[in-house]
Order: sequence, then C-alpha cells, then structure tokens
Amino acid sequence: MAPKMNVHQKKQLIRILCALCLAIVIQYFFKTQEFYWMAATTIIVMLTRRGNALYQGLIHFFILITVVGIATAIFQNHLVLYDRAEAIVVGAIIGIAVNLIILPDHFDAEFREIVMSLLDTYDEYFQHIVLCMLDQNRQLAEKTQIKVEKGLLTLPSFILDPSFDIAMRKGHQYFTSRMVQLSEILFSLHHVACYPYDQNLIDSIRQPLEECSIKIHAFVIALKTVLDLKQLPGKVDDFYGEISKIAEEFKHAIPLELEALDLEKQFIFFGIFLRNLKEFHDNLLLLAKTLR
Amino acid sequence: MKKEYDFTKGRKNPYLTNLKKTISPLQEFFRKKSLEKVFIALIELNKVYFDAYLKPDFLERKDYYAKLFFRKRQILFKSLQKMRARNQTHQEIIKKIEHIYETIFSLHLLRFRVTDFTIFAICRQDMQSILQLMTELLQSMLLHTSRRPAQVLRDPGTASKHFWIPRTSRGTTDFSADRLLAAIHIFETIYHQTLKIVSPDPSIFLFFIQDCYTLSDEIENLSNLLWHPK
Repeated sequence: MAPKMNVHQKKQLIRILCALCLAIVIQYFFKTQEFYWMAATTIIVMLTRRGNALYQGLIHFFILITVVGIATAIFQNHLVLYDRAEAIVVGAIIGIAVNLIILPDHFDAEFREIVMSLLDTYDEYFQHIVLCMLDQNRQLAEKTQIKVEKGLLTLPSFILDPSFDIAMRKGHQYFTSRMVQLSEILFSLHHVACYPYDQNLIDSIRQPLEECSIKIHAFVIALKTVLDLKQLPGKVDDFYGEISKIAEEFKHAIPLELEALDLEKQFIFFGIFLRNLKEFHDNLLLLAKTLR
Repeated sequence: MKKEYDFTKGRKNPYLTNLKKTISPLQEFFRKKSLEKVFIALIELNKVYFDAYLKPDFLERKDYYAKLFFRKRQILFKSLQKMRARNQTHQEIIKKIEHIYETIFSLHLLRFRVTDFTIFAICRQDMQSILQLMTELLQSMLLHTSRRPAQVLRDPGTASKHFWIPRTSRGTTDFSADRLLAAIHIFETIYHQTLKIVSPDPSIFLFFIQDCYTLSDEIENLSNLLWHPK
C-alpha cells in the first residue's frame, strides 16, 4: 500500500516537479553543461523541512557547493569546476525561487492560527471550569476538555526536533512549551474544580472568580488580536487583582491551626486551585510579553 | 436457488443476525484494545514525567525530555479519542480515566514549580517506589482489560526490560492500593521531616502528596468499576 501523503508533502512534490520542468526548459534554451548537477541541486535545495525555505535552501546550497567544489578541484580540472559550479548555482536559484514562489509554505501563519484556536479553546475551557466549580456543572467542562485534547493534537511535533529551522526554532518552541504548560494547568484546574467545596467558601469567592473569568476572556481576545497582526483597540486589564481577592477570601476561610489545614482536604484542593490560577495568569502574561 | 427473505413481515433477517453475532465480539475486542492502549499511554506518560525528578540529567537534556513528554502526551490524546469512540456505552469508565489523566497532569506540575532540582536527591528513592507502585496498579488494570496470560510492556528507557505482573489463582491480577498508600505515607513523613524545612516553597510538595493520594483513589475507583461492573 502506498504511504499517505500530507498536504505539505503534496505541495513539495508539485514544487519539485515544477522546478525540474523549469530546469529542463533552461537546459533546452541555454544548453548548459552538467545538466544533471543542475537538476540534482534543484532537488537538494528544495528538500527542506517546514519553516524558512530560503534559509534552509541556502544552507543546503552552501554545503553542496563546498563539498562538490573541493572534490572537483582535487580530482578534476578547473574547467569542469567552473561548469559544475555554474550548474549548481543555477540549480540552487531555480530551486529556492520555486520553493518561495509556487505554493509557498506559510508556516508562521499556520502556527499562529493553531495558537489562536488553542487560546480560544483554553478560554472556553476555563469559563466552563469556573462554572464547574461554582455551580457543579461538570458536563460543559468535560465536553470542552475533549476540544482541548483535539486542539493539542494539532500542535506540530517537528517544532521540537533539533533539525527544525534554526531561525524559527526558539520562538516556536517557546510558544509550544507555554501552550502545553497552560493546557496542563487547565487540566489540573479542572481536576480540583470538581471537588465538592463548602458552599460558604464558594459563595465568598464567587464574585472575584466570575470577574477573573471575564477578564481572562478579555485578555485572551487581546492576545488573539495581536497574534492576528491587528491593532489592539485599547488597554487590557490584568486580572491579578481578582486572584488576590480570591486568595484573601481563602485566607479568611482557612483554619488557624496548621494541623487542621492538613486534615481538611478541601483547603489543600483550594490551595492547588489558587496556585494553578496564579500560574495560569503568569503564563498568559509571559505570552503577552513575548508578543509585545 | 437463492433464498429470498421478506423483511416487511417483521421476520428476523438471518444475515443481519449472523452479522451482529460476528461483529459484537469484534467490537468488544476493539473496545478492550482501545482501553489497553490508553492504559499503556498513561503508564508511559507517568513514567517519563517522573524522569524529571528521578533522572539526574534532566536539566542538561531538557530539550530531549520536552520532546519525549510531548510525544507521549500526543499518544495519550490519540488513544483517548479512540477509546471515547469505542466505549460510548461505558461513559463511567471514560470519566474515571479522564480523572486519572487530569490527576497525572496535576501531579507533574511539580516539575515547573521546583526551582532547585537537587532537592530530589533527598526523596529520589521514595519517588522511585511511588512510581513503581503506580505503574504496577495501572498495569494490573491493563492486564484485567486485556485478559492475556502475561502482558509484556517495554520500558521506553531500556528496551530489554520487561514487566511481568503476577496473577492470582483466580485468574485476575492482584489489585491493592495499600502498598501505594504506604509509599505515599513514607513520602509524607519525609515531607514533614525534611522537605518542609529545606524547600523554599514547601506547599508544592504538599500539593504533590495530595495529588498522589487522589491518583491512588481514582485508580482504585476505576479498578472497582472494571472488576465489578454494574
């Protein structure tokens, strides 16, 4: 059975075929020597991973011309070297140009789309986690959890490969790791939000938690606007004040003796919730700082 | 001559009946297979996450581990999707498994919270035993699901090592979370005696211990559901 090709591989195949056709046309009109070297170079500079095609193509070209140049200079005469170098340069120009012009990969835009849709899902998941905690409405959070899982599956794993485009690696890896950390925090929040807390404790934190969820929604929308390369309409409020209010309410609710704190499971669970909320805030802020 | 059946008269279609008879064990097989894959993914994910505390080279090879965590997480999510599609009539099992993996993620947020990894030198052995017992419990459920004479699981780190689970005479695996609870108790003692004093942020270990207890409870709940289905 023939292996299935993904969209990127299909695009790459079309580009290579187009580049080879172009190389044949050039050969027909200009009758260059060393055609096979030209065709081979065209293919080699086009075999790039997803990312910056120009950068990767140039790296392939420089490696090839250095190796071939040294080998030809040692084993053959200078005339062959000139002809071969000419063919390699023409082949590289064809390959890189076709890679950039015909069906180019816009990996940056694709990645931004993935991050934006994931942020959207995270926001929805957080709102439903808050509902789960305040009203014990678990169904919505469970449904959104599946959405988050599906969204995480769209994150490309090759970003973490050491062979991924050096120019893009750092930024993309940073974003991927932040998104993964945010998802794990949300799963943890979901796990502690389902605990049956004391109603008095829930009532005391209801208002700041609802405000916090509204502000997180606004914050995520702002992040998405920046990722969409659009101008922010106005300032975005930080939601640390709301988290501090929740923390204060928690401090009022916890027993004074530490032994009692150890015994009361709900306080440890709430402590985990609060910690996760702070980390969620910190991670969103770090994302915002990177985009600034 | 070819026999013709009149479906309109409410007769049972023998073709359909035979088809159902053939398909239902197949469906059951694939359902169990999907559960098996989820358990394997959970075991492996938990194991690689524990590497952050147990392997001394974690900080030097952070990129390698980040990739490993990412791959294992993707495998888990893929297997969860398949499991949900094939276990639609077993919603309770799905929910329990979801709780287990949420707890595993919550448990391992510790790796982001710890600033000084040398602190794990104090409790490495106890963490190792917690991991081993968690793995054994999850494997016992895997065995129960697969009902094979012996389940062979490859350790991702050492390809030659295999885990063999002992089976009781009744034909099912021996399940008891008591040993895990005892290991967590020992860890809790270390927390009270040393970690609480040495760690700059002791609450993160308190959260870790609580999540360990929760995970133990969740696994026990799921095992009850698998062992004694309603």
